[in-house]
Amino acid sequence: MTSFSAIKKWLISMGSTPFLYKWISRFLPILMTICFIFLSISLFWGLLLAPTDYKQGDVYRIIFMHVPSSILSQSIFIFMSIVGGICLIWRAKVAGMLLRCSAPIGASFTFLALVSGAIWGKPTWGTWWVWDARLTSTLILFFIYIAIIGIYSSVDEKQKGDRSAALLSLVGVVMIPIIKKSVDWWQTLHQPSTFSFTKSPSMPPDMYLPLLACVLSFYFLFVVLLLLRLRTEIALREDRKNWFKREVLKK
Amino acid sequence: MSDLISHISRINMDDNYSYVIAVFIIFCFLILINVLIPYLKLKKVIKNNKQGYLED
Repeated sequence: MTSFSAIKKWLISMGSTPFLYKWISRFLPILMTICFIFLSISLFWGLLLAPTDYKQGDVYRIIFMHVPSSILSQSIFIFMSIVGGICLIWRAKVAGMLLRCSAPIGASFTFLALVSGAIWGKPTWGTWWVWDARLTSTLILFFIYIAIIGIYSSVDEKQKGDRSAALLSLVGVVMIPIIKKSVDWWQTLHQPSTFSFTKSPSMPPDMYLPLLACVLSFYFLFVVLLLLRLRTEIALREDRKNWFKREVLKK
Repeated sequence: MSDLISHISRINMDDNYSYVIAVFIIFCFLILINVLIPYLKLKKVIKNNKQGYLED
């Protein structure tokens, strides 16, 4: 019970921008170092140590960047729709900031998923691109990310931009089940999902475990990139506040 | 250590592995952008504000 109330207290304090700024400034270097080590190990494991696929050869190793970035592109959008909802209902300032900071990261991972898929498609499918349901729906998701970034660039008033982007993220979240189920609902060239909660993995542990490590390290990377952007966003929005002045003059 | 090197050297660095390297380079480039842009922006905000506060 005590730990629960401590977590609750910590979460409430995270809503305070001065506390959040100081917390990020203090822990970000440690988190970045751990993330770099974890990411290096998991990519080294996947790109160099995992066994070669008997059918595709070494080109299958793109999976260790393609699958985590695809999973992350969808997870980030779900996260954005949740913080977007919080932003619209409770008008939480930090929720708006999180929404703004997540959009470019989500767009980057979606771009990586699309490009890595295209590069993987060339030697295996014989083409860079097909208007397949999975590929097309992911491309639409990328355009929604760009639209959210565009809203922030075109609206001067931060709160107005937050609300418009939140609304778009709530509407756009409908794309996630479409992307997820596109390989089941339509005849597609794309293979079925690699990860499933209901089925055991079709890959051997030698390939599955480094993939799992890559997915986890990509999630960690997202958290680090988000905190990095969030610190800058707080500084941009609160640069006239006294606490920020004190913080700057301390350095 | 020698086992590790011999294992890595067994990887068939044929034409197809260059696709993996291409994806890895794009990945590194995207991470670099996502790290550098907010970092440099923050440095700029702090520098500008510090100058302003000191002038006040």
